[in-house]
Amino acid sequence: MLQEFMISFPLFFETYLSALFMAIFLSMLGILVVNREQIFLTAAISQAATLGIAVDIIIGLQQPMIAAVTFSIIAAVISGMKDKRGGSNREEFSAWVFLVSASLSVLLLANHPQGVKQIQSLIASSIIGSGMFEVIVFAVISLIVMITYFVVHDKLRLFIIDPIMAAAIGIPIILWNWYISVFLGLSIGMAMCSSGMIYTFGCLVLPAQIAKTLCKRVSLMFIVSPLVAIISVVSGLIIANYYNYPPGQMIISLMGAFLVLAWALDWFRTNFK
Amino acid sequence: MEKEQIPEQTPIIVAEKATIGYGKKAILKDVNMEIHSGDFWCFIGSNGSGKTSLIKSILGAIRTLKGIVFLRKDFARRTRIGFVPQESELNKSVSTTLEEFVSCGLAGITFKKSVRQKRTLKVMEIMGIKHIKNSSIWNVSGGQRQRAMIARALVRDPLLMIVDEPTSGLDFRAAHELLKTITDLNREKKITVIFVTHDLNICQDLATHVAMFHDKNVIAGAKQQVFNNENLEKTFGIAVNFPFRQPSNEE
Repeated sequence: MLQEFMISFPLFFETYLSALFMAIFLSMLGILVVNREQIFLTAAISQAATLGIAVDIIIGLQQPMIAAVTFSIIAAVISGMKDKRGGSNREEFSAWVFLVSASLSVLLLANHPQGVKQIQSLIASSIIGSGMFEVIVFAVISLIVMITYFVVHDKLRLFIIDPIMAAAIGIPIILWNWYISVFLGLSIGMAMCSSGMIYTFGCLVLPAQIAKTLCKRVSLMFIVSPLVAIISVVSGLIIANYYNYPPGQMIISLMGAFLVLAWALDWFRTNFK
Repeated sequence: MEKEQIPEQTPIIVAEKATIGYGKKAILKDVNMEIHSGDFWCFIGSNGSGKTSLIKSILGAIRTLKGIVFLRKDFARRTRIGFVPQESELNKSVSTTLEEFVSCGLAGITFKKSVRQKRTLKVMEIMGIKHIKNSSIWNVSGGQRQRAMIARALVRDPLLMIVDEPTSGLDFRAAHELLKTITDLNREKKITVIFVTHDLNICQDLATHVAMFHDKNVIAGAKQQVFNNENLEKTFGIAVNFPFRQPSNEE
């Protein structure tokens, strides 16, 4: 199995590397998303990116990444503003973004020769087809996320647990909220454009959810989540390559299975300690 | 370079004609108050009267819509401000141990890891929660959680401590111990305290100053000047006949 994977590596290394880097930064960002209860919000942001790509196709700009990133940043920033005014407000807005983006992206391209098919394949997800540009961009984003975490990890933990106390000690939480919204929009938009809905959303939510189930400390989550993502990507790529399955879906299915294992472990830990 | 001397009588927090709210909606209007070093302030008022909003504004978590709320120069970096929030302000979806939670109080202060841990454990020992340091903060009692929040504030060695309704939900003994800890800090270490409460007896017994919140207004000043039945009636909108105690000579 491993041998077949190594043989395929020269042919698909750009796809493999971009899938790996995407999983690393998304799984780390996912810790913020999961702990701040913004899972549905990220689904909406991903869907807004789809709408951006649909608009790009209909206008004929041929800049899908810029369009996807622009739409997802707008959705993330407005949601961040709604967030300050209460949770239900944010949820309502997220639902609105999700539904309107999903409907509009199909409606806009309903009479376009290739459009609907393109949107459907974006939702279904495929990580195959990434080039060196994506590899470099995703490696840089991963590096930024890791360095940011390394530099501000204690402040970040406090910001996640208790934002008001974070403000009390001088962390500019309003600015941080903006920064996180923009960065989340940017990262999701780029990942969406390259890999589609299932892979982006899966890598964002599942590893962080696994880490949250397994770890008693937030600081550990920042190690476990990317580790789970890396293990899932590598093993998913090897299995998908051997059995000739779509790699994106295989990786996300593995993450899903790992989450079930984590739940089981947590149940045993709680009940038989 | 010579360190700038700040006169002791300079207030550490000043609110000048501050209007505070969310979006365009004002929760408080034209708030004027000065908090000096060593004061023990009690904030009282009905639910939703804006006590927590003013605290958030002092902490910089929300901006004023008009006017200003500012901290004295030596407090502006906020390294020595401790905040004990209402439990509901904490993010309950985060898994964290008591030790990690308390050590979060050191965020932004650079220490060696060993010093950091020593300081965290010392303050946990003082608060009587060291033996449960590895427990999840959500699996301990309300009193222990409250003590963890105080420990997190104390670990910064604060000069100003803001405590938002700390005794709500605690049994009599836990509330008493908590109040004693905070009072001792104020009296022995001269820590300035802002204490949000619904308990008028706490105001009577502990406060040097009182801020009373009603109809988007704040009546603030020394306890002897503002803490009376007339202002309590305004604050709570009902006739109040609180048995005020005459201040002793010591007070």
